[in-house]
Amino acid sequence: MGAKTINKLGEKWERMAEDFLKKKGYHIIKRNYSSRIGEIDLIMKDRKGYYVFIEVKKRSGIDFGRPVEYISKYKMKKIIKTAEQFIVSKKLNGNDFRFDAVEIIEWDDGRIEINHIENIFIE
Amino acid sequence: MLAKIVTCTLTGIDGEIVECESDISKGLPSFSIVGLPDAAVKESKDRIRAAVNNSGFVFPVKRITVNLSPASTKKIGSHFDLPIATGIIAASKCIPCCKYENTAILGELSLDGKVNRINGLLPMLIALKQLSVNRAIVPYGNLNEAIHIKGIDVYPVKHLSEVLDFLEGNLEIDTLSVSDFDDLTSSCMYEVDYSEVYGQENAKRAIEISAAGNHNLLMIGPPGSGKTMLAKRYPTVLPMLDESQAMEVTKIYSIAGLMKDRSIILERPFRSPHHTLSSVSLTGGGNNPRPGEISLANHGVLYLDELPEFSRKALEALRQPLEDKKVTITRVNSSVTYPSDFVLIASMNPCPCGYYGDSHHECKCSIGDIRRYLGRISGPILDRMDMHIEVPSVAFNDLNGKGQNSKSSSQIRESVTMARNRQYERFSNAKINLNSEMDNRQIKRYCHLNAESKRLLETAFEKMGLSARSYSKIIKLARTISDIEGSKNIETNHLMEALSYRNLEIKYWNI
Repeated sequence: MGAKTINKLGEKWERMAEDFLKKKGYHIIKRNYSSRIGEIDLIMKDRKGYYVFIEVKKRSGIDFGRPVEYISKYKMKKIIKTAEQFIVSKKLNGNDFRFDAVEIIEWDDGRIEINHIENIFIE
Repeated sequence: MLAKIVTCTLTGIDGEIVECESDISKGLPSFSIVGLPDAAVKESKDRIRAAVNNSGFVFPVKRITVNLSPASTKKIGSHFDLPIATGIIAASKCIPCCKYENTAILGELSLDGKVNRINGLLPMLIALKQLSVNRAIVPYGNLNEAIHIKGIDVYPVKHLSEVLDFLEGNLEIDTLSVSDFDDLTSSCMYEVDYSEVYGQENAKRAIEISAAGNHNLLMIGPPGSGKTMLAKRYPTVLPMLDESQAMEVTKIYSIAGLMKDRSIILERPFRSPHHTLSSVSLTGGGNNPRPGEISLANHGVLYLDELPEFSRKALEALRQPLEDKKVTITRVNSSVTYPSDFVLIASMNPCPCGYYGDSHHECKCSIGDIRRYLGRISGPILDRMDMHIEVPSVAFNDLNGKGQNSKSSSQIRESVTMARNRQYERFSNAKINLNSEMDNRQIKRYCHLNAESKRLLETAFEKMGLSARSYSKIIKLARTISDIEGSKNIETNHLMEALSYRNLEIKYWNI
């Protein structure tokens, strides 16, 4: 598998997450924001005006743990750093921010489960 | 959005007001506590978040900064949970500050929002009262410690949500009714009594003298002669603690978390630590200084059984607190002073096998063994023991109760109280209370010896090779004996009795 295929695979699930949140009244600010430090899957704005940084995680089945369990401390630090960079570059200081996760589980029978977890990390 | 809540921290046995400021602002979500918090306070972050969420409030997704001011004092303890949580909720709900002005909040939180009991409530309430705070919200579990504090309204709470309801005026909590100190004193009873100790009348006399003037006492005797029994009954002959003493003792026990369900400590403390204790647990200490055994024995008795078995370091650590009646513990980031006004009772065997000098058993120890054993008690420690007595094995007749009627605790306490009253009267203008506390100037002023006594003391000084300290200790002891006898001046026979309590040093330590 080349890098492009993985990107495409990821994109599919990230789109699914985005659609899921749009139904909840969020609107998209930026997809796949990336900097030298790291990458953020989705940046959206919710109804209350919070800028929400979203990490999408997908797994097939939960035999090896739930998807959100795969978000490590290291990943968390990288996301926070990247978010800070985004805030500075877009001059968004003085707004409310939040970090969310969307986990997508593809069960054996093909059923797909989506969970939205708000406020996943405050150190 | 800012909320300022008053709370308290302890340095030594005194409290200091801490202002807990919570600021909630926009920005990346974070939660930081500044102002020199120690490990338990830093951990409170996790407790607070869970407790707030589980009590029906929403923990704000904002940038939260909590400052504990003054920022230079170290904050120790888990009682900051409740003020911090209240501050965060108050700031996020914009409760006006007049609702919680002049109200101190103290308490630890469970994850479900329940308010848990804390250590050191009593000294903190006393400090808050002195610093003119009107109201205090305290954990319900600590209720009994608060009932003797007058001049501050105390509101006990069980749950975090009660605190917020109370501050917003949606809930009435009854203030604690204060009970008088005098109502309690009668309830204090001891389970042991000196009438249970048969024989050993000499030892009881020595204990009477020791209790009357707070003189340290060393008992030497073979195993099973009743040294421990005698020592355990020592507090029964001491007069009750007065209110200020009881408060001081209770403060220390409250800080050490030894209150259990008691409201105030009325009995004289009796501490008998095991001989394996370390010097730090004896004097108090640790990174965040805590009172040690000598402070827990404040206004009471510290009993060291099997004195030579204690580590040398622990025993030597006793020297300074014994003289100064207080101990200052200095660590890199703090220095605290705890009171340590106790009477030291120690007991030991005369040799490793225990029977040296006994009339019924043969001692199997070599002279070298005995010297080595007794050598564990250093000269300076021995010098600080005002009285050395022998506790020989008991005769069968005494044991069977056929001997003379043994003195009961109440009889001894009566004469101790009388002797103490004479001392209080004498020292009414001085800063001290008891004979053992006299310094050299006071000895000169209050202890006049007649010519015969002076000659006797001179002979003894040279023959017994006394130190300057033991010289003054003997005079103080003679003063106490004459107080027990009700005599205004120190008579020669009082001095002789005092001298007789110093001659074991020659018998045992000079072999």
